Amino acid sequence: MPKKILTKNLARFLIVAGICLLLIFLNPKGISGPVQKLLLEIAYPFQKTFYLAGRTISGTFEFLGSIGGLKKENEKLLKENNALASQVALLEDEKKENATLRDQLNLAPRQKFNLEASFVIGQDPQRLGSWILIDKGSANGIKAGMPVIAYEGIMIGKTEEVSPSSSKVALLSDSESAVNVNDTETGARGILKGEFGLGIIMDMVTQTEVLNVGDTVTTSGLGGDLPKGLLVGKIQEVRMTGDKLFQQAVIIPHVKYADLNTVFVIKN
Amino acid sequence: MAQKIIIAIIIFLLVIIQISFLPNFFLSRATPNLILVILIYLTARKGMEQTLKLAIFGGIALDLMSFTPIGADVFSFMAAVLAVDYLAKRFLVTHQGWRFLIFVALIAAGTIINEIFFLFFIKTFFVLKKINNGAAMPFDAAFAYNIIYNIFLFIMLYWPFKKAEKILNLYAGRAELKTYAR
Repeated sequence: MPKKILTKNLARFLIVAGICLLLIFLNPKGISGPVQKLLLEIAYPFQKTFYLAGRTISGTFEFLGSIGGLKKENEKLLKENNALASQVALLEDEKKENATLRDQLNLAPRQKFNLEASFVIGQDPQRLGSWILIDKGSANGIKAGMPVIAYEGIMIGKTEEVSPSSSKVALLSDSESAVNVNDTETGARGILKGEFGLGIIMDMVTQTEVLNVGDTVTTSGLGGDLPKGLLVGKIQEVRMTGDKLFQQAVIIPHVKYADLNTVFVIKN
Repeated sequence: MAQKIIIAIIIFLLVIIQISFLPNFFLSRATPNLILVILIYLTARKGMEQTLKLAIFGGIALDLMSFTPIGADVFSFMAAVLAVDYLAKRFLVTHQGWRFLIFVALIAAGTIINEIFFLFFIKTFFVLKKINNGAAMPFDAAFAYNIIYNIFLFIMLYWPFKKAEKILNLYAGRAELKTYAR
């Protein structure tokens, strides 16, 4: 008897498996797009509530767990604050100098972005670890392909799928992500690629270019889809590709993607 | 019909909890799979026939809400449910004294099967759609974390499950009595 049940169940499984695999060949997004948008619309208020509740609870736990380390952290922050204060004074001086030089060279001021602040309301629950869901969508003027930053110009990804009230942001660690970047110190150019949520690498850097550990990597603006100068991260390791034709650099992002609460979409 | 709508709403809410609540408490690349844990428990208790539709509906809902290729979770849930059904019929009936531990083992086995089939599906998708690095998709520590997290989640939910089952059985018993009385 159990053998018979197993055969029947196996047959069911094989039918469903066949349908699932067949779905790959069809255009899954084309078929499911409207249903997905509707589901996201219905889910939006619940997602926001659950995400904020989760953040509050986990924040409370983290706070309780970190009380012991607060004193040390406070001392460290005080030192950092002092160092930053002196740096600010230096930068103020350089700002004035920069403005004077710009006047002399007749240059336009740096680009001001039209930012749309958004809350994160969901994250990749699977093992691909490469997207976040934000609470702004096409109703707020957001379109697919817009760059998304955290804090002051730190690039984290691009909007990919947009519904009226929410948008999926593909992070730089997404396997399909490809962004033109350069090493700000040496000027070396490459393409930033994600590795299935594991990390990000700067790839396709020619052998003649120089990459140093600790260098800052920013967007190069090549291709025109992203603004120039958005901070991506720092070089952690430099290595050769398998075929020894190019260099690669492992990049540490400036922000921890899992801890993002608020992000900004660059609309212009 | 009303019962089916309630089940659909519950699954929908579970998917939202999975995406928007649970990631706040766990490592970024590993999160317990709430729907899978519930599916494994129900399959072990009631058999595959009762959970097949839930697996399909839950899988589709999770695929749509988590932007994975449609079918990935349906496929992996079905595989897990099939394996758990087979194992539960072999071990759970004959080893009633070890019930809790067998449930834990079923959660571990179900998670492993689910992970393998999910990765297989996604890899196939990447290769067929010629998406870069498809073959290099990782099979790493997150795999082990998922097993541990699912067991942890199951342990947290085991007694509430039992309580809920008792209450539901009580209602079912009352309903039966009313039918006999008529």
